[in-house]
Amino acid sequence: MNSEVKINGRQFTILVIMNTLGSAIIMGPAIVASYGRENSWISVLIASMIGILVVLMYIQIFKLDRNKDIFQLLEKLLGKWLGKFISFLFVLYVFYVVIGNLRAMGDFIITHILVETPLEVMILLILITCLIGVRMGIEVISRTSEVFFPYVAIAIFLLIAMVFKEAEVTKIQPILQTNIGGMLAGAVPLIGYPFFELIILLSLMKDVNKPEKAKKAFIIGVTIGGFLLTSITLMCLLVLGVDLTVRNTYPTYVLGKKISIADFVERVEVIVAIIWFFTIFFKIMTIFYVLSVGVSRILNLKSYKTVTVPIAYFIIVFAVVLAPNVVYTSQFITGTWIPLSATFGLVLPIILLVVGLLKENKTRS
Amino acid sequence: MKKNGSKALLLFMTIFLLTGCWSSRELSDLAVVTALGIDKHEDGYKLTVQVMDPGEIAGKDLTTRTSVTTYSMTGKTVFEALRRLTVTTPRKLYLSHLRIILLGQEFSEGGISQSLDFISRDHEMRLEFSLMITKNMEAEKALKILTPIEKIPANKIYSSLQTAQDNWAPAKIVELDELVSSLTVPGKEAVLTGLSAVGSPEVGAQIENVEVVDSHTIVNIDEIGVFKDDKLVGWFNENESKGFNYITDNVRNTIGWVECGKEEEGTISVEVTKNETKLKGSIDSNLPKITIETTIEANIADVECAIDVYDQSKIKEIEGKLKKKIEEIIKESIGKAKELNSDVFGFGQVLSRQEPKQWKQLKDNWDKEFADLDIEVKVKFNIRGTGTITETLLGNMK
Amino acid sequence: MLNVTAILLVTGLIGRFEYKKIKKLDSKKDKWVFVVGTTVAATLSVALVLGYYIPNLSKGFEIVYQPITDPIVTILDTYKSK
Repeated sequence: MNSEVKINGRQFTILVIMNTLGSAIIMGPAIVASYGRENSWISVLIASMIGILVVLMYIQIFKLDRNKDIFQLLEKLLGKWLGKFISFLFVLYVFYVVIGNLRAMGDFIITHILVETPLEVMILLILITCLIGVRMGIEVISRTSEVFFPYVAIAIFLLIAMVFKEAEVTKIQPILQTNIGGMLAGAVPLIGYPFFELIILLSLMKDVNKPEKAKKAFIIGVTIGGFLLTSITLMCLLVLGVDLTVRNTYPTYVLGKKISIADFVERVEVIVAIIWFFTIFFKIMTIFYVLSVGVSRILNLKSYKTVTVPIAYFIIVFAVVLAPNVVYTSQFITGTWIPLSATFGLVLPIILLVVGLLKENKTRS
Repeated sequence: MKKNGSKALLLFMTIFLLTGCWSSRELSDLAVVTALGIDKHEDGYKLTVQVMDPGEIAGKDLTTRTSVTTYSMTGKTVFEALRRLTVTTPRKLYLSHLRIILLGQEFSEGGISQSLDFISRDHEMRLEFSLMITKNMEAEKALKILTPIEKIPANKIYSSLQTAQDNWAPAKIVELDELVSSLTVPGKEAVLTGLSAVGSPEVGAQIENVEVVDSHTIVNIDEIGVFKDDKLVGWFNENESKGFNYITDNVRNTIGWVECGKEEEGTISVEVTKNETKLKGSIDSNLPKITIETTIEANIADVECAIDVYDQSKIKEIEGKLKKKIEEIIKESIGKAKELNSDVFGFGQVLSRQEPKQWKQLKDNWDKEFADLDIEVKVKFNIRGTGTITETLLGNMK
Repeated sequence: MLNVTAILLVTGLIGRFEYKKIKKLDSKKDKWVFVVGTTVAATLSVALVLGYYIPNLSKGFEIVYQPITDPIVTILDTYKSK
């Protein structure tokens, strides 16, 4: 495996932001608002804070061995066979994140933009593009993300700026007075989706040219990502109100529909789609890359590229059969996904840390 | 040779990239719907669409055909009626450019919420149309009336509504999301502006209606209709409608007038240029209370009596009178709402924001609480300018 | 039927180009993994196109995690509006 591949700190930050926003930027507000009501932007804030703490924990794992990705680390710490087994389960999880995101993107397009296009075609088109990116390697993915990030940033800024005049503070009142339990409950699904998913990026940290920068980049990335998520949720609530935010499957897109400046700048909601296509596209690419690397580690292959094509087939097939409908997806996110992501985003890293630190102590003494 | 073969195959495969959009529809395949009317029918709903004829609007050689056409169809659901319409329409109906949805009065009295689901669920519908009620007539008839100046009646209705809201005040643009949240959120009831026709709708549907200087039939923006839950229960009159807009901070520009005084005959009119209303909710010894504070700025627009408006004390006097009048309008409006037992002003919501804990107890029998609600009205009226002239003409008349 | 032919054709094409590259890696394992992986993957796609049942991954996770999911959902649902 080519270990000379290096990305720099800034590129890693951008990848982290893209992965945090991912599909949460468009579906998150509805999920959170159904619990947190008018306080749900605080739920997102809480989730982001916990996200930062979670990332701090991941960084501790990174410190255990700076030259190994999580799959190598698992084998090193847990022994060859147990390590491989856990790696396999982790790969399954990563695989699920890829197909979940791919499906979310496909579902969105066929709900709002190209209604008569079959889902399979949408998924195929997106995945072929991702496959090309993955085969080019993480260096190319990160550099491309660096090129496209300004567009995402500008689009988010434009979206917020253009709907700002429609915002009404009364829509989020009363602040922090009622429904505190709901506010906390709203944070729970959001921690699993997207913050626990960031463990997948842990594997990329060793590819950052300066380890110190990687740590900083990870924290900065998740902070910016959390901040953007909070702002978007806040704007959804301020402009659409709780009711409409909850009722829509993709409230951020509806937020885009609200843009109307002097009856002239109108019908530009595709700006939201632009933001989202980029964020989720890079998310799928990076995770797909990690997935291929993981599989190749388990099978001790020479190059991860060997498995990219077969995996792509698997992704398409399982993404198509993933969920019977959109309702199932959102129920899954607020149900099974919570313990599932906690297993790999929280329990696994804790086990790794404990085992790692114990071993470290042993060798020292 | 072998290499050329695979190259040829690759080239061949690029054909698949040239297919273009999957579900593309050209403009010439679409019938652009400008307005939608929903009426009650024994089968469920009667749906009427107003479709524009692009050739008559932007074509080079205009004929005497009407610029819009309407089609009606009945169905068990709105969606079914809409799709069944394809048996009569020449092209598939395209709803993205919808300006207005008219709900028949009879239909509104029977409850509107079921029909709204399709409208908010369909992806082609955008949020930018406004909803109205056709007063004392079916939506179908209203959509058939041709209007002068604006070739597309739906556009005329929409722009009339907008102008009336912005310059005259007893009207309100209600878009779908606002209506839906009024219907679902406790502590606020819905309103929709009415639309009425002067003259016979049948005559209005003839092309002659736009061929004469004085149209036989015209469509008017009427008063505001009040809903209770999802049923139309009554109408505000012009003053009450205005009062409603004062309370809900929806007045942008309007006029008001008062009598000059005891010794002088005639009236003074002012143009309200700015209005800001704040609603405050409080709980006084377990009883909810709402305070309406409205600040109005106005310019004197018309003095029809010999009064010296350059006199500070006179200005104060006029301000005082106008203040009282606005207070009366607001109280009238509240009185009517209480009579209809419908909290259209969203006082309940104000309480839920400002007194969230007590609101929980009030919420369940808000209908009763609203009927006995203590409401205090505070109006501040400031006259800023006197227009381009100072003294009135009447004062110097020989 | 057209779909199946297309899948097989595309897989064959990709396989041919890909295999050349993997040959260069000079690793027997890589070759085997690629051949077996692609075959299984293509079979799966064909099965999907022909309408055979393909296990749903979400359902699997759902069953495995059900004992933990249920209490969480019960707690969360008490705060869910409507």
